[in-house]
Amino acid sequence: MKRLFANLFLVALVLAPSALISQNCRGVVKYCDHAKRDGFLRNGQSLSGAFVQGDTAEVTIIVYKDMEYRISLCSETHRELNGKFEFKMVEKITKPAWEEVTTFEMEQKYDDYGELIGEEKIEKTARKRVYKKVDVVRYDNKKDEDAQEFIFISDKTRKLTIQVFIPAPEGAVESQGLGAETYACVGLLIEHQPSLVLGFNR
Amino acid sequence: MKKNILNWNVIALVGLVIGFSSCGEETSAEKETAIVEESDEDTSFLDIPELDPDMAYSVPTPNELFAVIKETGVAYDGSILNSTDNREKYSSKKMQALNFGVYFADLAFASSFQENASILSYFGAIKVLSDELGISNALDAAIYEKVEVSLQNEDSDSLSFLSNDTYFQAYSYLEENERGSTLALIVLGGWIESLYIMTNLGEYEAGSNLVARIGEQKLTVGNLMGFMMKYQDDSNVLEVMEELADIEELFWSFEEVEGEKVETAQEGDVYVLSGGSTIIVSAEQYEKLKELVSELRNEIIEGEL
Repeated sequence: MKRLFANLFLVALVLAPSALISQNCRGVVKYCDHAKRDGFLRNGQSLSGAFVQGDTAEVTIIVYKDMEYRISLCSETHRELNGKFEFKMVEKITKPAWEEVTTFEMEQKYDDYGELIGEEKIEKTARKRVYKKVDVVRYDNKKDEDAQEFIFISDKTRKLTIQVFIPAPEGAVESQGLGAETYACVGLLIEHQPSLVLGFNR
Repeated sequence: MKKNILNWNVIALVGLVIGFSSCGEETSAEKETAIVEESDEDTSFLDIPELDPDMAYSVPTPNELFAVIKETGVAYDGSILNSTDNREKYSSKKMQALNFGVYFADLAFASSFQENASILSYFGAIKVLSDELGISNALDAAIYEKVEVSLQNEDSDSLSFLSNDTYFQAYSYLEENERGSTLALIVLGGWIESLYIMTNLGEYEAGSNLVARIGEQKLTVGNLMGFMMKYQDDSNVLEVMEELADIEELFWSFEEVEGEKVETAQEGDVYVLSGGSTIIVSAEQYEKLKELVSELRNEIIEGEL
């Protein structure tokens, strides 16, 4: 039991700074540049948090038809990260596919006199139409000159996942264990406004 | 791909250390077993999404929703909103939080349609509930003066901005102060009231814009449950999640029909996402949803949940 308390104390010592970071990171999204002048409103789906540098964070959001959205990222604690975030927007799409299904049936075998002599395992293959959810990358800022903001509209209401890669500190060595990880406070700002002209003609 | 949220690392590390400690002691191995009740009910026909505990789920605000609903051409109907006279019925923190969300949805609806008298009245109700919930610090002290000025100037853009920003401030404040369970109740109250308003703005009409917007809430209910899951250790949150179960299940039965090919095109500095599936709602499902939502919403506004 003593060992348990001793270990918990050690954990508390290790975790105290990271827990503090986690708490201090709440609400950091308010430091991100707000495009108020362009008519955008801050969206409640925005996110703040402490993230391990070198890892990827994910958030799932809902975007409405006929609404224009702006996505941007910022870090108040690690300003050197600003301008270096990598992010993707992914949508799960149901796609039809053909799937081959193999089944086995036991067939009774008879001799020339009609006497049952045993059973034979027969392999049968059938094609089936199936529908599978696959991830489709809708946007990747690496393919857009590392753009740090993404403005889009949609012809349908959709569920989208934003994957954000938090760059590792320069010179960091991978796999140094939890103690070596560094955390950054990151804000993912989502803004919206009714699209200027319905039907996507801006 | 590695996904990380600090809190999960913390939990894992604590678990690891407790695990190591137990290994060193000669104690009887009392293994905790998760008991999952299995239901005989066949749910194979339901399109139930997988919720990833490592994922963060966000829920759109009522302001955003009603900006979209207004474009469907529906008319404003103030009679369906929760009367601010009901406010005195909300004595527990649970009911205050749920109805804070309800009044915010009503405010968002009134703001979208520039219903000035209602806007001021709902801002007033929100102010009182924010005092009772201890979150009045989150709101701009001069918000009421700003609302009055906007109303006098008939500045609808400014009113929408104030309504949206008040929600954003309250949301951020609760998150910063680790009051996630209160936030979960507010979000749920706002969503149920929004759904109630939508289902009472018109009769079922196959293929109409309003019915389409209601069907799309199938996407939101998944995120709502994912968001609330984080706070289900709180008994109040768990109770309302249970109350929501029938509505959730009904949404999973809405059919998704594959549409045209998915495409992402760039038009100037704006990207356009198109294609994908459409959610279909039958008349029967619409009526059932209306009934279930009305039942839960009335329990909330009567302070009886």
